[in-house]
Amino acid sequence: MNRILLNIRYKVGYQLNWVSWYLVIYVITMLLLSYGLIKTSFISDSSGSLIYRIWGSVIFQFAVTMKFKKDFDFFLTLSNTRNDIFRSLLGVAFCFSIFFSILIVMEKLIVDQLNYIFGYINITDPFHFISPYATENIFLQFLFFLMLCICCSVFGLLMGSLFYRFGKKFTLAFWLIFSSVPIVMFPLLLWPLSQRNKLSSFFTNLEEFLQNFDILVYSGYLFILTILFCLAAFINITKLPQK
Amino acid sequence: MEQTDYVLETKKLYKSYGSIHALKDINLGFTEKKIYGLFGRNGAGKTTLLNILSSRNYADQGKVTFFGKDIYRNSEIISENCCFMPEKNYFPGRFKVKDLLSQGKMSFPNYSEPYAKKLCQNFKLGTDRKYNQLSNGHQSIFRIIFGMASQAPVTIFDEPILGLDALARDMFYSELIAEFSRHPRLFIISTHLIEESADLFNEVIIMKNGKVIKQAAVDDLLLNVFYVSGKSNQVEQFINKRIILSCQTVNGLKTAVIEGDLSNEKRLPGLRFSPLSIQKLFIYLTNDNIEQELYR
Repeated sequence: MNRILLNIRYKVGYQLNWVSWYLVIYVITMLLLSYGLIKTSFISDSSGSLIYRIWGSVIFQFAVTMKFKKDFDFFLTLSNTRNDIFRSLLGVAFCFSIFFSILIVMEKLIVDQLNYIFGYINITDPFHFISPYATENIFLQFLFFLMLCICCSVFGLLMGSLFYRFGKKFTLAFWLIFSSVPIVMFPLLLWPLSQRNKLSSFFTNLEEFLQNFDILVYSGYLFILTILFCLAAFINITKLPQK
Repeated sequence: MEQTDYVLETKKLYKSYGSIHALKDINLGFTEKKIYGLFGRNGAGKTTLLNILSSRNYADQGKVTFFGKDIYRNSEIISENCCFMPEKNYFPGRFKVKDLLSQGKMSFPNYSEPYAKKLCQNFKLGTDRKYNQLSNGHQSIFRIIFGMASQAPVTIFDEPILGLDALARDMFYSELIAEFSRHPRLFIISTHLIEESADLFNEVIIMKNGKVIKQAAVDDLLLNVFYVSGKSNQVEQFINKRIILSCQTVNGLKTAVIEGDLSNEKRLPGLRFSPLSIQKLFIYLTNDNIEQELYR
């Protein structure tokens, strides 16, 4: 246990450096947007709005945990078992998820306050169709963002460990699938209008379904996804040979 | 649990990478408080073997045990008792040497940071420098220091002296002997610099094409190997029906390398017998071309 705590302390120490840079860039961008130095359609509302959510940290978490190779190699050189490595990296993901979730919830409170002071109208959320801010209960908001952050982190861990195991093959397959999405979508444009309408109504229904969500239920879905990703990452990492 | 005298033992290890058979039927035993040298040509399977011994990699078949316990089923045993410093660099470059040295206590219960710092002074390794600013030689020195200071019961170095100058190599040999006498433990060291490091080892293991072809003390290996030289016909008569490792004829004079116990042999007049160095023996044992010439 002691070894895992030391690993976490070490990794949190250097990851904080990354997080600090992320936050600096975020704050600068937010200031530039607030003073209208960068024009976007989001803030072109005549009443103005401070809507800049720190949700990008979720993607940031995903990206950082995908940097798996260096951590795995270093921890293995320090004679950690693969089990220790998995638990350490999970611990780090958990720590940063808590940190970012607190930040996201706090940001909402601050932005609301600023909107109130400046008389701006707050647009609830830049993603529109998922609205964790539908509730005023900050504990529920925190829970949702915590689950979202952890889920993305564990998915990043899984992807990172799969990249490590399969190397170029996996990278190639991943990007082929990722880049083939628009290619698959392109023929849809050639569909007859009636069929396209069916497709667009499907997305409209999906949007309505997501908008009417229960934040607790969604947190539960994310929790189940996290457990599945966790299990897959654990199986992969505990049998992972060093390259 | 099996009772064994060996700290580390391998049984029928096999490992392949695609169509390449990196290890074939490796059966080895390593006893406590000894320094083992692992020799082999490039691609002989040394690094693969060390990776498997330290549980960094998995064998396709076979078993590795630590005091009779399977290391794959009891991964914490090897992680607590084995420090493996690989040839590849796995330390993060942006960290200062002193910060990395302080990480040692994360993993090795006997790790001595003061000893590591003392070694840094001896090797003139600046602890305030970042790891990626160190030269290849200094990175090798860092790994040596880390491994020595770990004081792990099993300490494994893969090509530790790669890129080291003559003085640094000599300091490493001296420090290894000193550390071994202070804290006797099992060292396994792979190296290509056979001649200058041979005196360090209690036992050497020679690998060829994924197989262990010799495991013995250096003196025992050299005890029954000789150069025989003289007139061609006399040498040919003497080496007939013996194990010949090499044979060369120049201007009617033949020199052969033979293996076998000659203590009770009648030495023929006109033949000269001389001992081999361990490096020469290694060359004769691992050179495929020599074998082909002999069996032709």
